[in-house]
Amino acid sequence: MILPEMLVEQENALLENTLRGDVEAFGDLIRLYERPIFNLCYRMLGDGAEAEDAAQEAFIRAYSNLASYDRGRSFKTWLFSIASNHCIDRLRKRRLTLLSIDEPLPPHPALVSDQPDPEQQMLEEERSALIQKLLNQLAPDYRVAVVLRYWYDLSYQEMSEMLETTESAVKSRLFRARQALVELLEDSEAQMILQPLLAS
Amino acid sequence: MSRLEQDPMRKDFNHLEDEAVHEPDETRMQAGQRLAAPAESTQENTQQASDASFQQVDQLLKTAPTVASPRGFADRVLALIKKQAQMYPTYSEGTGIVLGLTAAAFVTIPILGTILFLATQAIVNQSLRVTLIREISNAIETVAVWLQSPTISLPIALLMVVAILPFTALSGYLFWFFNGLAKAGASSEQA
Repeated sequence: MILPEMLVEQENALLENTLRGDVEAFGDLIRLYERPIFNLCYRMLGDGAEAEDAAQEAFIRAYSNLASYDRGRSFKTWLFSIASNHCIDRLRKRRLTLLSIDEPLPPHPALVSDQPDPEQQMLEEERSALIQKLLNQLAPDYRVAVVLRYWYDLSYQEMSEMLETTESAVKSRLFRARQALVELLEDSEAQMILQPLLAS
Repeated sequence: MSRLEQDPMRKDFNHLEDEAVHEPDETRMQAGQRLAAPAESTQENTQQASDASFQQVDQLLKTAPTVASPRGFADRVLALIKKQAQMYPTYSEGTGIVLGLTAAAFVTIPILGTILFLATQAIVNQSLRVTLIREISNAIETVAVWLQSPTISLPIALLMVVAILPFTALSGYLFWFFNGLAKAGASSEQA
């Protein structure tokens, strides 16, 4: 994940100012990363309200621990690791709660769609709901690997740093996650939704 | 049989000549070939099917939409962070509070300690109580006599002003600090 040089400079300046006590500078950092962090939390947790809580908590934790942030590392990776670990903790705590995975999730109102066409928008929503349904059936460790790899295009090395594991473990998790997704997609119901989406 | 219609024997011959096979025969032949195919070829087919499934998953995930954060999310998080930051004083503010309280303690503890000690002694010992009252009365009388002389009363008044100033400043600072903290807390709650 390579950030443009200008963005890195801007990020560094904002970090410097935040460390000097300028809270507004951290506000700019939040604005810079609110969307990817929220999307990560939403894809991990599958619920808009919970994702908002988790994303908020991730930013607050980042602010509180900013003094301990290693400037040699990418800020984005550090922030992502806080958010993903927090989501994994939440999912593990949630394990005791019985949830029906068969109920389709309602599409999030804030779903991004560049297409004004309502039919296209509906297809996008269906796709998003299908993906979320599939993700919800994966174990937290597999889910985070899929989200980080496919939405943020992180390298295995970055993922291993974030998840505090080895690169081979990340590769293995990702492979197993994809294998599980393939099996889930073979389900006829999923295929019925998937085929028109892929054709479109 | 018209001239245009072929003789069945001739038809079969033509098929053989063209190396063509009837459709049902071809289907049977392909099925036979699949059964007779070596294990490697079957594995290859399975592998191809598996690759296709993986590609389908990859395509689905790579084209997945990103979910945007709710409106005003950044402002809400920032307000929370500000509230938390205001709840806890900064390093310099904390140092000020500690120094101020320490100074107040240095002044208050000996005075209060002496008063408490004398009060306890006075309650326990009746003769001491009488002596104390007499001494206090004498002291007040002496001070009153002294104060009547401007050469003594003026420096004392100046000393009192000098002594009161730091305490007033310290009290003012503490009042301002805690008052500001309370107001900040209230405004962030409103936000």
